[in-house]
Amino acid sequence: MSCERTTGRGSESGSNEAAPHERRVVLQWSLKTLFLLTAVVAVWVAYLHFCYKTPRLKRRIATMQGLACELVINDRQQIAAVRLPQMWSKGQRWDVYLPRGRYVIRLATREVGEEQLAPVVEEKPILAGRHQIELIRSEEDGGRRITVLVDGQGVIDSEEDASWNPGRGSGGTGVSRTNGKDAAEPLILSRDRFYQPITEGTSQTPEGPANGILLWIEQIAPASP
Amino acid sequence: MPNKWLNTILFIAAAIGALLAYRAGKEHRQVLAKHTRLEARVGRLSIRDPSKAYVLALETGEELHFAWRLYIPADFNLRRKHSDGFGSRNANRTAYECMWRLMLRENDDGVLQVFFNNGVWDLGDRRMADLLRGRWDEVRIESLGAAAAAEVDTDEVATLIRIVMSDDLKKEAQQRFGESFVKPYETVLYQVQIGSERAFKEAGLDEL
Repeated sequence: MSCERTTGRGSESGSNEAAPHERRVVLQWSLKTLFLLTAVVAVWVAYLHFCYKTPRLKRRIATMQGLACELVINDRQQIAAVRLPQMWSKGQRWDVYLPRGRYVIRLATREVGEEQLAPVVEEKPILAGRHQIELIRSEEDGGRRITVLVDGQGVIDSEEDASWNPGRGSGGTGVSRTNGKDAAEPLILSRDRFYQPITEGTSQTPEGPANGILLWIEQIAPASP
Repeated sequence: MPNKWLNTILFIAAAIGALLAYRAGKEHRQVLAKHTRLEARVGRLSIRDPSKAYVLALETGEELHFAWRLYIPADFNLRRKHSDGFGSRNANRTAYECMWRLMLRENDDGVLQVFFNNGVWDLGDRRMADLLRGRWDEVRIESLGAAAAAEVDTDEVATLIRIVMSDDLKKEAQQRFGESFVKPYETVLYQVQIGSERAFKEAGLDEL
């Protein structure tokens, strides 16, 4: 950039007689400066554009992850789990991530309370990492068969007698989504307690521990340092 | 001299801006790829008017398996009514989105069943399954939001899905099983209606 200063008002002949400090400034820009200025505008506009767009996309992603029941792992040192859409009436499914450590998957069918764990009927080790877990209930030979699959392989197969389930329905809870849970705490996949009959056509939620299904994953040893 | 200083400042600003834009652009590409992948799974639902409900039908790739993505505005208080009497009410203070699924399958006993979200119930008895087995191409199925996202106003009851037997199927059913079998399914084999609580009341469809 260069600045030329010229004289102010008055004719040329009289200009030399004007105050010597009054001069008109004309700015000139070099090509290099113009190029750099263009580059600055371009990169900063691009940066601001991404700063505006990316958070909006992230918000939409969070909504869509919920709709798609996609597993979100916020912390690889913590458990993450999401309940998958039930595609048919028989099974409940979950997508689970277990951080490093040793775990077991456990099933209880009696003395299932509202919050506490229950006596284990069957259990199997389950490796750290990502798994799909499925809980299937079917009726066979008048009994009640409970099967647990991990990544398509049967790991637990339990059979109860017909008196185990009064057949009045059940009420339950269980994880629907957790994006980060302490691995030292049990992950309750499904807690289902059978309603107790009162009269011929009525039943109620059991008051204390009752028959039902409690499926959970528990850490038996943390990751070795 | 001033020119040199200005060029230096501009150069530094451009370099910093370029680095920031590069990193932001890289993150944006990753986020966009994730967004595109998820959109392929749950569809693209554009909300033109946040005070209205929207329904978008999704491709499932499976026969007799239907899925929808719904946007429900705040205070809509969604009602759902099935033609077989089942239904639900869901009051809501804030807007939300959800996915619904409906499947028609034969169970192990040869009875046709409807599976909707987490509920399942019979659609007729074994005769219905026998009648429809392998003949679903003779059944007309209309799904809301199939061509494009459908807008549902707060005073409107919309039909989410409507399944109707062809006249030939109805005639055959009447001949094989009698008029009492066909009568409940004459107008519609299966239907799910949705709308706001208010819309259902105004349409006289309030009973659940």
